[in-house]
Amino acid sequence: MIALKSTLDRCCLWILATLAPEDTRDAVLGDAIELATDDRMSLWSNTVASALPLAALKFTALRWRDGLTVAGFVFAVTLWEFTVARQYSWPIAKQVLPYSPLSTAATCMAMYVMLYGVFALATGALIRIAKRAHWMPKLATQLLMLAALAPPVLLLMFPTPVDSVAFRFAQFAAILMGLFAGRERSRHRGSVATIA
Amino acid sequence: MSKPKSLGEFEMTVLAAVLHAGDNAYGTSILDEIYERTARRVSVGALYATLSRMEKKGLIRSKLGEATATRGGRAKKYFHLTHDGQIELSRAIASLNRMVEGLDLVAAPA
Repeated sequence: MIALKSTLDRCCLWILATLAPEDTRDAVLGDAIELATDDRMSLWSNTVASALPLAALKFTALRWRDGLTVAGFVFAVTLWEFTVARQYSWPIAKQVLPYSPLSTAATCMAMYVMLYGVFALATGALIRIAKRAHWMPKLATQLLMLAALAPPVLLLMFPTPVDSVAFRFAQFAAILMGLFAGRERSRHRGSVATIA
Repeated sequence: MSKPKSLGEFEMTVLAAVLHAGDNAYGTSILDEIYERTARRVSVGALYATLSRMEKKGLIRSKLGEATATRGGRAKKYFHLTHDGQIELSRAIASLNRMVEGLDLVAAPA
C-alpha cells in the first residue's frame, strides 16, 4: 500500500507540476506537500480541486502571438501531410525498393512515416530553440507538440481507404520519437521522493 | 486616484487572510487562516489562481522565500498587500456594509 500511495502521490505532483504556471510551480508543489504532510488536505483531493483553476491560470498566461504560432503550426503540419508526406513517400520508396525485402506498400508506408519523423525532429529542434530563447511559454511549446500529432488524429477520425489504425499508430510513434529526439528536458521535474 | 477594482467575495477573503498572516503570509499559512476563520478548505490551485489575478491588478506583491524539508525542498512564495490592495479591501468591505445596513438578517449559526 505504501508503494501505491507513493505512486499516487507522484502522479498528483506530476499533474500539479504540469498544470501550474512556471512562476508559481515551486510554491504550489511545496504548499500541496506541506498540507499533505500533516493531513490537512490530501494530495489527491488538492490535485482534483486545483486542476481546473491552475489550468485556467496557465491559459491566461498565453499571449495572442502564441495562439497564432500554434495555429500556423497546425497549418504547416497539415501542409506537410498533403504536399510532402503523401507526394514524396512513393518516389522515395521507389528508390529504396530494390534494396528492401519488404512489400511495395510496406516500403511506401515506411517512407511516409520516416518523412514524419524528419518533420517531428525539426519541430523538436525548433521547440528547443524557442524554449532556450524564452520566445514562448512552456504551455505554447506543449501545444506545438500536440499540434504535431494533429494530422494522424484527424486521419484516425476520418480515415481514407488506404489508412489503417496500425499505420497511424506508426505515424504517432514517428512523431513522438522525433519530438523526443529534439526535446529539452524540463528542469522542473525534480525529485519528489521527499514526500514519501 | 485609481479607478476602483471590484473585488469578489473570495478575493476579499484572501486579502484579509494575507493581512492576518502578516509577515508569514505564504500559501499554506493563508489557507490555514481561511480555514480557521471560515471553516472553508480551499485548494492550492484556487488560492494561487486568485493570488495571481490580484497580483496582476497590483493589489498584492510576492517574493520568493526559503525552501524547507517539509515542503520537499520547494521555495515558499510570500505575499503582502500593496497600498492599493489595502484601499480596495477597505472599499469593498465598506460597500458590503452599506449594502447590508438596515437589513433584518437571520443570525448565522455559530
